[in-house]
Parts: sequence; structure tokens; C-alpha cells
Amino acid sequence: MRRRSFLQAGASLALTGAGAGLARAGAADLRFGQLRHDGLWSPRPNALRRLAWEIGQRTSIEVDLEPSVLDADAAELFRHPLLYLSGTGAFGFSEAGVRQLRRHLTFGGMLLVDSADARPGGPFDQSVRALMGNVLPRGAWAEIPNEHVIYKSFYLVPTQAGRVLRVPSLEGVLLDERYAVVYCQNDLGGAWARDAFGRWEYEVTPGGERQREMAFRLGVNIAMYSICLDYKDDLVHTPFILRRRR
Amino acid sequence: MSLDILLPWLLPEADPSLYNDWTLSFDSSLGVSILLSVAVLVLLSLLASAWGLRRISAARRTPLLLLRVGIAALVLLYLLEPAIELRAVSPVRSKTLVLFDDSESMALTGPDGETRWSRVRDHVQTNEDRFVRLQSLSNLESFRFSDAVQPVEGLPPALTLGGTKSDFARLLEDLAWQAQGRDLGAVVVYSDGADTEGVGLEEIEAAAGAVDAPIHVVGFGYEDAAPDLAVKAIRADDFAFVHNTVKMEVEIEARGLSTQLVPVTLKRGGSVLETKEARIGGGSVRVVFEFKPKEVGKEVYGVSVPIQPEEAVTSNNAKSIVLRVIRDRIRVLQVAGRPSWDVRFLRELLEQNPNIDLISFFILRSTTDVQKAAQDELALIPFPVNDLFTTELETFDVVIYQNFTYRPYRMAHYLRNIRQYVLDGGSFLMVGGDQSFEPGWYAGTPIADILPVRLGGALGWDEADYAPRLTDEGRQHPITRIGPPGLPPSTAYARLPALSGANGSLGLVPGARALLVHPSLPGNPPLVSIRDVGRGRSMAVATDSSWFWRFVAVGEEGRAGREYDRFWNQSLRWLIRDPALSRLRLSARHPVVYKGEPVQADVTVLGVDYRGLEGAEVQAQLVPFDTRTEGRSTTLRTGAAGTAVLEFEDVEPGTYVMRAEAFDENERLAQAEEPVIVEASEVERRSPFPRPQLLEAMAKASGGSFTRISEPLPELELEEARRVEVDRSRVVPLWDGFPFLLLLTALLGLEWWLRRRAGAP
Repeated sequence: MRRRSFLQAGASLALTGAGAGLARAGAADLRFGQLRHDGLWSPRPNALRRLAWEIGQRTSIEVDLEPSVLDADAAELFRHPLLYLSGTGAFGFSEAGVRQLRRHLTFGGMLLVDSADARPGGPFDQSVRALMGNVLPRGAWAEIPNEHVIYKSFYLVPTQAGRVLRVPSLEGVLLDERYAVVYCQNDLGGAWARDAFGRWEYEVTPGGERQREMAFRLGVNIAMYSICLDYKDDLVHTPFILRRRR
Repeated sequence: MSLDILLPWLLPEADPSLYNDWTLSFDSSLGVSILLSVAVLVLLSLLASAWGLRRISAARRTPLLLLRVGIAALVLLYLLEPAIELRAVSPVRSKTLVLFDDSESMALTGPDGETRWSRVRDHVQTNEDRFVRLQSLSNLESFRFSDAVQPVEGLPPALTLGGTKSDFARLLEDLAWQAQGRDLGAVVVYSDGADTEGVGLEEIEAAAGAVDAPIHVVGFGYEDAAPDLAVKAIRADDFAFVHNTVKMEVEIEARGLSTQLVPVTLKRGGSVLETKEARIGGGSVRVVFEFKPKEVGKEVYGVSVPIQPEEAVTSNNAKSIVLRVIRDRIRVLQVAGRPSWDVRFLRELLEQNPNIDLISFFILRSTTDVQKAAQDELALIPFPVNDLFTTELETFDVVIYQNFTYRPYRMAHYLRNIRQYVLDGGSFLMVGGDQSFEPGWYAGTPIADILPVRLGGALGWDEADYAPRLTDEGRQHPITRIGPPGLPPSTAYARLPALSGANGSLGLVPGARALLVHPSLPGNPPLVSIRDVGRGRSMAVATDSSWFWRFVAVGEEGRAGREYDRFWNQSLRWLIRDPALSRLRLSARHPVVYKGEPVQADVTVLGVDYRGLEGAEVQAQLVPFDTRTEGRSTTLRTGAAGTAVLEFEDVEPGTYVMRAEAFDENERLAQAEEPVIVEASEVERRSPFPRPQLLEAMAKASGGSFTRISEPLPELELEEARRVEVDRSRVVPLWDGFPFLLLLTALLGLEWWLRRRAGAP
């Protein structure tokens, strides 16, 4: 359910006497699409819901808290411009899934890949790189530089974040001057996950709760980047951001 | 050699009084190549003989060689066939040209009330004795000059002063050409020097120096003209960029007026843009205006100065030009109430268009959002409401409110600025969402005054899915013709995914047009609607799901998103009034014409497929620019290529607007306007003042004199004729007589004798 639904429903009813539909997210709102693959595709089942909630709390983005679980070859994929791929261990997609994912990313979609096992060079990492070699054969993995807009799209995020700090930076695949794939090997989902009783599911090391907060900020920034792209690189923002970074 | 000595020797029997001149000629019929070959052979023979004589003493060799050279010379002369031409010649009389300026400026009156031409006539009559003398010494011919140089009868001639041009550089070129090979004794020019072509003194000096005769000028000084204040020239580039500063230099010329400050007023259309003061007193002053054109297209700019007492010419106190204003890039301001997929895909499209200069502002955090970070950990900037909606607003071509409500930002009072911006020619686009239109609290605001849809009690926001329905207007309009050419417009929509979410409204405001409507909401509210408001335009897209056409269509319908691109690109083009989008194109052949010339424009009418439409009816008018009423009308039909030529004749001086409206079988297709200026006489408007410096420069460079019209004509010296006429001639050959043969034989004999004595070979 949308965060502001109650308020808007009240306003709508007061104004028009007709209730606006509350059954589903607005067409333009953010709803994560979580990709289902043939491996362990949802190691942190509560992570995205919590991130969506935080995004709704902290920013003006309208979110649907419940992510859509999608097969890579589903037509519904294209109602979710921001996809989330997680897992532990090896995995793969069907040929149709690879084709559909390629089309999604090529026409403007974005994929956040989050390694729950946080093992660079491990089975999940190998599967991700093999998959992307098929999906975007002309794209090349690159370290996302610290000055990239993804680190300033909402928060000024100076450090890496996640459940652990296994790798020092995000990686990505650049497509038409935007990162179509963003890859984190520090288990962001582990830092976001919170159970139904309000407890954090995983301990965050070595930075503790400050590191968890940074994981949320990075998540917010990635979501903001997927929607606003390089908006924060517009000239009008530059003097403000430089002043705050001094 | 004197003819007295030559004649008895050549023709003892001839009468010496028959000839007064002689000349040497060569009559050989042999070609030059043969003569040259013989000369080379003779030279080689001489060298060979000199080589053969090298063994004998110099005292004997030298006479032998000299004799051989003499013999060789005689042989060559024999071949050249020399002759003496005896002639009786007489000199040719030189020619004096008297040129009279018959341009319109000669009809202007001076301070004494007399026209310049009447003073010329008086001057010629007063100085008749000088012309009688010139006539006795030379052949005197009269010409008039302005548009062209033409002979006239009489001195002074009877002239009609109607020449619209005074091109002195051209006149001098003609004179230089006339003088070639002819004996021009002198040229007398009567003129005020009011050149219409803006010629410089250096150019005049160079042209006058090329005339092979002295030019004596009788001209006018500044004191001979009535007081006048004129807008002599407006100088600006041929085109300007909209919203960029244009520099316009105005030349004000004042003669016969005391030093004073006068206001110089610049108008755009009929509205005063700026007034500056210029200090006049003598000669020209320049006034520079700087301004920013507001609209793309052709704008009329006029400059005027007040009419002064005793001015003889008042039509030159104002002048207008047509400035073509083009766009460097389309400046778009996109204000989004929050980040969303609809916002993202529109921004991406606009940003990728190299012709668009995009400024985006997204509200990333609202007042109700939780702040979990210190201010310096956020990359957020204040929303620069004041700058955007006051000082910078008019620099944008299009302002987009995308699911944006003004209420949280205390900017209700800026909405008036946006309304005024649109009324003044700007464009406004509202894109839907749950913060737009009715839920954005725009009912009753100045924004509601400019929207195509009516607000106030309408359904706020409906989230249901639906397939939008094309209206009749939408089937024809370029914004909603988003499918491939050749396919029915509705086919494109059938291939696209259904949209989701729509803003309700109470329908269209008068004058607005709906292109797409919601198929199922009560009253079928407009989904895409457009409106001409004041001089600007507005558009409403009452959904936030148009991005489905870009992205969802790719996955679910196998499309490539081109329909989305076309829809928004065409929308932008319509909003900025891109001429290429109009189905009627009207283009003046000359934005400025002179009285007497026809006002012409090319008309092109395009069909729905944007190809030339044959047989379309075009109703056209020519109306005064200021009043825009009571004009002249005509009706045309387009030819095979959809083109026609619009023409109005005998149009009085003034600034006009050509208006055209195209119809196809009574269906109104489009309308277009084009400004045009009809100037009064060029001379009257631009060059009423005498230019004594120009006349003096012309006289001095040619070796002539400059005389004021108030002074008597001086005694003029004539160049002597260089040509003669041959009355009689006789050719006497020098080579075929007995003396020539005797001389040759004597030289040969002497050479033989000397050679034998010297024992030479």
C-alpha cells in the first residue's frame, strides 16, 4: 500500500466525493522487481520491503512496499524499471530470460545486483559475471568512481556500505552513459533486512549501526539514481554539493 | 624627318599641300614565323662568316664584316617591304559631357523654398557663356543620371525627377568606360551627392581617378538643404537568437538643426521597448539598443525620432526592419513534484535531444519526509522559486509542471507570473499525477486561466487502466499522429499498452482542443488537450503513465518506444510553434519592399501527411500592422505541389502583416502570418542630405574642380584630343626601286673585291 494513500484518499473524498483507487501502486511509483532465478534467489526476503519503507520515509518518491517477484522472461518485467537480483551460490536464467533482461536494460531499465554471500570470486559472483556477459556482451564491468552521481543522488555517501565491507567500491556496467547494472558485493540486503518484530536480522560489521545507516543511504541513492539518472550532475547543483563536501 | 625634305625625294611630282604627315610602314605578306626564321638564318650566316675570317688581320676583317652585316640588313629589309605612308590628317574635337542628377532628392526644397533642380537650372542659365565656350571647343553632350545614365536634349534639359537611386560609384565606372579610346575633354556634373548606396569616399576617389578626364562638379552644401532629422539606418545581424541579447545600432542624421537632445524610440510590434536620448547637432550620431527577442519568427522593430519644425522630409523620421528570430536551443524548465518513472523517461528524452537545453528541478524530499541525516550529509539544494519564476522565467521556451503542486512552496503568487509568461508568448505544459490539476489545488488559480481544461469540482485522480481514445482533431493533429506514416492514426494506439491513472476535469475551456480523451470516466475528460492562450500556448497531459509507451511497450507489445518519442517531440515542437509543424507556410519574398514594388509571399499548404496539398483554398489578407483591421483580401488555390504565390500591388508605404488561412473543402487547416514593410522612396527616406565631401572627393581625384551651386562656373580647361582623322593617304614603297638594287649590288661587289684582296674564303 502506498505511503500517502490514507491522506490522499481523505483529500480526494473530501474534494470530489469519489474515492480514488487504493488497490495498487500508481503507475509512476517505485516498486522493486525482484528477479527469480534457478538458485537461492531470495536470501533476504524482508530486505527490499524495508528499503522501500525507508525510501518512502526519507524521500518524496512514492513507493509500493511490496516488491514484485518476477521471472526474467516475464512481460511484467517492463512495469518495473528497477530490478533487484540477489542470491547466494550459483544461479542462471533461461535464454528467454536473458533476452528479456537484455531488452529491459537496453531500453532504459536498471538492475541492482546484491551478493548476499559477499564472496568476491565465489559461485554467486561468477554467475553474475557470466550472466552479464550474456545479457550485455558489449558492456564492460567497471568500478563506479567515488565522484559518480550515484554517491550524491540524495545523500552524500562517502564510504561503502553493506552487512560487511568486503569490497571497497560498487561495480557497474555502463550503457549509453548510465550504469544499467550496479553490483554490490557487501550484502546490502543483509543490512536492510528487518523481521516482523522490528529486529534487524543481521549484525553489521565492522561499522555497526552507522554502517547500517550508510547501507540504507546507499540504497536510497541507488533508487534515486535509477529514477533521476544524472540529475544531480546538473550544473545548478554543483556549487551546493561542492560546498558541503569541503 | 621633315615632310618638306622627304616628299620631293619620294614623289617629286606630288603637290606638297596635299600631305601634312607621314609614317613608316612595313607591308610584308610573309608571316612572322617565316621572317623570324630568315632573321635567325641570316644571323647564323654572319656568325659563320665571322668564324671563317678569324685568321686574317683585324684591319681587313672589320670592313668585311661590316659589309656583310649591311648586306644582311638589306636582305631583311627587302623581305619586310618597307614603305612611307604620306597622309593628310586633321584633329578630332574632344567631347564634354554635362551630367544632371535626376534623382528624387533633387526635388527637395532648400531653406529658400526652391528645389535643388530649379537651382541647377538657374545655374546653367546664368553660366550660359561658359557652356557656349565649351561648345565651341568641344562637342557638348547632356546626360541625366540616377537609376541609369541616359542622353537628354537641351541645356538645361527638361527632366522628370523620379530616379530612386543615386549610385555614384556606378556612374564613375560608366564614365571610365565611356572615356576609353575616346577623347573626353571634361565632364561637368550637377548633383547634390545624395548617394543611396552608402559609398565611401575612398571608393569614390578610386573610381574618379580611373576616369581619364577631369570631372568638374557643381554641387550643394549642407546649407542648401532644409533642416532634417532622419533615422538613416538600422543595423543589426540578419537574424537573432531568441532570449539572447541583440545589439541594434541606429544611425541618426541631423542637418541644419541646433545642438540638442532628442528621444530615439525603439518599438517591437507596436509596443515601446526602450527610449534613449541622442545628442544631435551636426552629422550622424549612433544610438545602440540592446534587447532580448521574445519569440521565434519574424518581428518588426521600428525606430523613430520626433518631427522637428521646418523639416521638409518627415517620412524619414521613422524606420522599421524585420528581424528574423531563430532558436539556438529550446530552453525547457521541467519542475517535478517528485521523482517518478514518468518524470525519469521524459527527462531522459529531453536530455538526449541536442536541440534542447533542459533545466530540471525535482522535489526530492517533501516537508513530511523524515530527515535522518544532517544537512551537510544531503545533496539537496533549495528550490530556487524566486529566480525561476521571476527573473529567469522569460528565458524559457517551455515550462513543464510534472505532477507538481505549488502549495508547499509558498509560490501561489508566482503563478501569476506563469500566466503572464504564457500570455506574452511562452508555453506551459502540465503533466498529470496525483499532485497535478485538481489534486494540485490549481482550480481558481492563475494557472487554471491558461490550462486547456476546466477545473473546480472535477474528479481528482483515477487510477484505473484504460485505452485512450483519439478525437477527430487528434486524428489530424501532429502531436497525436504518432504512428508510422501511411497507417491510420488509431492503429498506433491499438498497439500500445493501456495507460493507467488519469486526472479528471470538467472538460475543455472555450478555444481549447482535445486530442485524446479518457474512454470511460464520466464526460470523457480530455487526456491530451491543447490551447492557444494570448500569444502563448498550453497543453495538458492528464496522466503520469505516458512512460508506458516508452518502456512497457518495449516489453509487452514488442515496440521500440518510438511512439513515445514522437508524441513528446511533436508536443514540444507544437508548444514552441515550430514552423515546420504548421500545415500552412507563408514566407515573404522580400521583408522590405519599396513603394511601387509588389508585396509577394510564397504559400505552401500541406496535407495531413505533410506533403503538398493541391487545390487547397488560401484566404489571404494584407492588414496594417498596428490596427490589424481593414486590409486588402484575396483568395488563392494551391497548385500541384501545394504552392501558390500571394501578391498585392500598389501598396502604400507602411508596416503590414500578411495573413493567410488555409482550407481544404471547408475544413480549416492552419493559419500563418508574416510581416512586411513597404518603404517610401529610398532617396527621400535615406539620403535627403547633400554630400559635398563626396562631390569634392570625386572632383579632386579626377583633377577637376568643385563649385558650389551658389558660385559661378569657372573657366574649364579641356583635355586636348589625342585622335586625328585621316583625310588622304598614299603609300610609297622603299624596297622595289632602282636605288635599293644599286645599293645592294654595290655592297656585294665591294665585299667580293675586299675578300679577294684579303685572301679570305
